[in-house]
Amino acid sequence: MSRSVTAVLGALLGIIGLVAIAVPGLTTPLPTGDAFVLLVGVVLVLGAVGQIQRRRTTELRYAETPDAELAVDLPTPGDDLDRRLDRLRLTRFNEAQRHRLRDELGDVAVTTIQRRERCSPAEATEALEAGTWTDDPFAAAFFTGLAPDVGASARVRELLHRESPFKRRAIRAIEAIERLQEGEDD
Amino acid sequence: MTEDDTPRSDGGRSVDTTTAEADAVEADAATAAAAGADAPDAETGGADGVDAGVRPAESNATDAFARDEPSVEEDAEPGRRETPTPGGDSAEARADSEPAASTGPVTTTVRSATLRSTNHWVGFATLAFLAGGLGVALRSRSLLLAAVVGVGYLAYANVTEAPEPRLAVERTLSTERPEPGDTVEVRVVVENVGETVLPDLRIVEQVPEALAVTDGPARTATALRPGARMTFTYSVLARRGAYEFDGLTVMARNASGSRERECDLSTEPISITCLAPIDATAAVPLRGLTSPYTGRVSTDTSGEGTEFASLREYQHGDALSRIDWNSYARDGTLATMEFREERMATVVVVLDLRGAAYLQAGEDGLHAVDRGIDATRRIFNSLLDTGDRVGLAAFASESVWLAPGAGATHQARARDLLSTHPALSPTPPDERVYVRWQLRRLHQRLDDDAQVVFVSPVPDDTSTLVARSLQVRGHPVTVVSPDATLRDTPGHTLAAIERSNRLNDLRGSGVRVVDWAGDERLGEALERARRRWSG
Amino acid sequence: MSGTEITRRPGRHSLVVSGVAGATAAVMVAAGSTTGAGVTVLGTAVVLSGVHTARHGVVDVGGLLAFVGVVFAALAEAPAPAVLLATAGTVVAWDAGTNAVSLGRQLGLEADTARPESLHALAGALVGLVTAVLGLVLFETGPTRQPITTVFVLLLAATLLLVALDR
Repeated sequence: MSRSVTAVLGALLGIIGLVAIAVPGLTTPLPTGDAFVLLVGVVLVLGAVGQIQRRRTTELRYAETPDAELAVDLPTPGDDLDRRLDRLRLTRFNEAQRHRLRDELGDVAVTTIQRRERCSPAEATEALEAGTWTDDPFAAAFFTGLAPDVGASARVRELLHRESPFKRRAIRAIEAIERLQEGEDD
Repeated sequence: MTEDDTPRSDGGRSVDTTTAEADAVEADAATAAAAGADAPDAETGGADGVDAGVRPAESNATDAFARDEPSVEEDAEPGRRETPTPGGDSAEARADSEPAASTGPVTTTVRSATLRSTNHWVGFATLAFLAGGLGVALRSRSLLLAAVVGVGYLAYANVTEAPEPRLAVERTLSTERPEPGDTVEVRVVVENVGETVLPDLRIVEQVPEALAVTDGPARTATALRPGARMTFTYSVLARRGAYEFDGLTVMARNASGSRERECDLSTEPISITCLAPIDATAAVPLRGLTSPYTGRVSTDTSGEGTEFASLREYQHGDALSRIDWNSYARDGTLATMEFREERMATVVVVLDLRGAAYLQAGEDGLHAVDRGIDATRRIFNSLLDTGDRVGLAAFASESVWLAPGAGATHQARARDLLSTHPALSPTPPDERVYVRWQLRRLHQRLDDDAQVVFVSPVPDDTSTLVARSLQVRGHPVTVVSPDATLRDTPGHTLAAIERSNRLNDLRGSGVRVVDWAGDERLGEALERARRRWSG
Repeated sequence: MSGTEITRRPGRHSLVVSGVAGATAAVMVAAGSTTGAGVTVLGTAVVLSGVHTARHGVVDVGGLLAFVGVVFAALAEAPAPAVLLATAGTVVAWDAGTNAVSLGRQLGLEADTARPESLHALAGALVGLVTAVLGLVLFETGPTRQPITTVFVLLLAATLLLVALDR
């Protein structure tokens, strides 16, 4: 029922009721037979059900408060790479992401190899693809895409590790690049 | 730094809190003589009294910025000012909660307000209908009466409106100049200066984004009668930079909770200014930073600033106007005069303030821009001391440029810029920084022989591009790079490797690089680099 | 992110307020019907669990359930004052619970909200008390005792008016 209809009905009934207080006996003619009373009761209970329904469908709205106590921390360089490496575990089959990671690490590796070996970018890329730039077989395998040159037991251990082989090799590759770079400062 | 560097939104001087701007209502204004002289004004009623409620502090000699804002906004509502005056009954409450020499709560201004229905009581009529229906159908009188109770609650829920809160807020800090890493306690006093009861008031502080709250939520809930106040406290961790507390959010509800008025209130600003501990040697050893690149300013005029410095042996190609004819006349030797200006280098210190430069090594490290600004300040001052002409510039969301100069006023102007310019903020800019365009403008502004000290954490290739571009155009570049990298995780390590590669690339292009590690003092880093350059 | 993040749900004192109101209602209901008392106790427990987990829907269900217990008591011819006070008790338990959830969501449990919550509950209790007394006086006792139909008509009128006003 619309708001105004409800209001008018309510006002009307209110007047009748108030008058009935003043003039007792006004309400006696109203039917009070069982059937009628039951009907009225049922109508009201239906009204109650309607109200329950209304409650269920309206959401309580109040002001949302921001997290004022938290401070915005600035990122440390490399945060996003860590996030992507972590997400790898969940999206194990996402080839495009892996390609991107491999490319990015490859760029850094090539630049570092260039400096260290004082060679051209082409030669550095060759070394990367051949796996000759480092003596860590897993790091080399990350870029060559071939199986690492280690014994079977080491390969099995790698598979059984909690993290995916791709992620572990990526980490090994980063460590190898770091060793390469620190070596050149000597 | 002097004591006048607290950034204030009203651009005024720091308010010296020891000369109290006493609350006009304090019957015992024992704090300051100046305030005491105004107390009689507050007690006289009438038109004067209305103004005196807020104005007495203004007539003090010290600036009363605390009062300026409310009086401007309150002009339309003089009635509000009267309520602080008859505050005798709340004076006892105040005596307990107020520190001796404080200014007292200042009325807030509403920045925005939203009124909404919470729908708390929607559907409550279920009770009335259910009780009524069952009461009628089953002829139970008590159920009908229970329905009456339900109706009573409906009236309670729907008839009242959320009040408009009129609040005065005072915020005090345990210290306004902490050291980085200190805990600062913030105490907030909220007073109901309106005439309506606030039965359900929820308050959330607007803590500056960069500051973390370490103790207690910066929020509270209360009920305030007119004139009542409440206090709550919380602690924040101080961090390098200047941060302003200038507002709070308030949600005022009616008693039943069916209506809520959310207001964004602006309070009198108060700031925390945190400077890193000054190095014992504020001057920075700059030997080698600029000398091999001494600019030759060919001036034929002996205008201001050219002062005779020394004589040296004539070299083929020196300007004839520079020959010291006196010594030639005396003994026939040719000598060239060297003027002071020639010895002076022109250096512009350029700061990288792009969003990408806002980096931090882990959660506790100082962040790269703060370190960069500190380095800029020290290098600037040291270069001025050695007689060079120094200027300032930055790649930032707003234009930052101070043309190279010398002298005390110039130094003061630079100090001012470095402490109050909005682009040098502790938080990253929201807008994009257009590097190409700013680089072009920088090229135009730089003198042909100006050297550049580029302060940047070198987070990406754009920074190397900038450095190389300047170097190629004939401006010798020295890069001072605060190291914001860590090597604790693979991602961080890779980023550190990338940065090292970039720095090495720059070195290969002839740019001089000072790699300033996080735990190193700037002096040490410069010394280390100098040894590298000369060794 | 650093700093202490607030926990967005009500604290323990909220449970006390609703619990006390619900328990009072249950006691009143027990005067008429023990089954009813059991239902009211169950309803109160549901309200408390809704408060603890900051879920409005659960609090609503609990409140309705608690009132159903009161209906039991009324139908078992419990004395009218007991029924009315029990009604007020269940409403206060539900209202305080809903308020606590909103406080918890907005301010978190670390904030000290005991005082405003207690005040809110007291206000609710007061409203219930006043209407109960008024109802009893006007319609039950004394010279103004009204026939059931009049009560009913007025009741309906008031409900309709207020529902129309409902914001």
